Amino acid sequence: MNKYIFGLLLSILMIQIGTAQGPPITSDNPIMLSEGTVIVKTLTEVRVTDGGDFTRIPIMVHYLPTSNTLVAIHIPYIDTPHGNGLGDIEFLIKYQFLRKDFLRKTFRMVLKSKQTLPTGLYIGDPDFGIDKYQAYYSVIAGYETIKHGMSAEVGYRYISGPISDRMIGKIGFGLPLLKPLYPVNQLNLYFENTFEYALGESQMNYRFAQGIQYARKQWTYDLAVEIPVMQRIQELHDHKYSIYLGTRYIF
Amino acid sequence: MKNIILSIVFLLIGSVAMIGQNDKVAVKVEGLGCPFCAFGLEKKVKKIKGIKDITIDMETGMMNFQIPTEKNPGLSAIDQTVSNAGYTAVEITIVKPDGTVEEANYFDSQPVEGHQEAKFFVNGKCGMCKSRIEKAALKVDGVSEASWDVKKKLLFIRYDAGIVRLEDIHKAMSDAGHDTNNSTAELATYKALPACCLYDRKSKS
Repeated sequence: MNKYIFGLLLSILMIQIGTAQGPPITSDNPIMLSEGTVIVKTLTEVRVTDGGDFTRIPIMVHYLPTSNTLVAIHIPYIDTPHGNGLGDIEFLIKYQFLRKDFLRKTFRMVLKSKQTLPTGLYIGDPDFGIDKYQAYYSVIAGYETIKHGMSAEVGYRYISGPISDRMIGKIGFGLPLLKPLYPVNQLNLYFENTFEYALGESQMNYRFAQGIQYARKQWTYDLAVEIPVMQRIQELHDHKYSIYLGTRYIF
Repeated sequence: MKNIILSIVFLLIGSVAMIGQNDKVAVKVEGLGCPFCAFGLEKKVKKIKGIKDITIDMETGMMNFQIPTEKNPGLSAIDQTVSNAGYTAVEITIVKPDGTVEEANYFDSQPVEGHQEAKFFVNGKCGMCKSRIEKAALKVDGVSEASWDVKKKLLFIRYDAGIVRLEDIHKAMSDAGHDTNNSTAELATYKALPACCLYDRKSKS
């Protein structure tokens, strides 16, 4: 029964409908800024569970060597009831292989790959560290206009070791509170849904996040609360809710 | 001999006068789906030395800037810069200080099914006029595409004839302060245009 539910959900175009006014908070879109851009950002997650609070504070540096490629490194600090210190370092590559531009809108598709190295502590949760190599591969498609945007991400998360690999999908909605103008001065609300299906267990999780984002000139500030709506995958602890706090600066 | 010397002197004076004068560049850009997209574009374009007064209008896709004539890299380089920023330049117009116009048109966007095309004279003068004219046309419900040729003073539009009449688009032009052959702007509206946009009202198509 769960397989059919998951199949149905996957077959829906996993659309993150956003305002296209800023990057989404807990998910991704295919918009890339210009060649030579450097972005420094962080998105802290404080995950409250029945086993205590798990905090992940990554410093992320993104660089666009060309207008259709992006490379990034994420270096997290983690603080958990099972230990604290350096987390698993991640390397990210994105390649935009399709771009169709129109007046006030654009359609793009991106391939994304994230490699997670076992550089951090063993925590027992794949999001915080399991002392094993992990990889994530996805395709993102997006149609963005100055009034609204749509992007879809479907991905596969490989986790070496006994923990099951996952299929990942996201659906989100964005609501602009201000008219899209340039220079940037934006206030957006985001409603984002994350689906995760554990292949070995045939179980799924569903989380809902609501966020608010303020963007001005080169700065972006994010705040989101995420709650697990469905939690059937075997996890280290039961997840009660998460708070995300992020900021981004574009050079 | 005297005439030759005088000619050389005037030529030198003219050349010196050109130095320090700016070309006005207007670029129509496709792919600007968000304000951060515009930021990325501006950041890339600013790397061209001497550029100043960059403005980007999200609704019309128009980017305008000025650059000293001697530093202008030319149409191809501007097109390449926009492409390196991750967007597509479909029209580039350079207005020189002496009034001459260079332009390139890379327009290749697909027509909207069921929309008609029309082209008509709209009086104007510069890149700012272009931005104003196109914005006014795009604000009319039913108009999907608008592009004004600075040199020829022709407005190209695609519109849904089931929603809007051509006369209404002419009226929108005159309401914005720009005369067409079918509609004349009110004097007060014309005079409210910026000084650099006060076109010769006697010139017609």
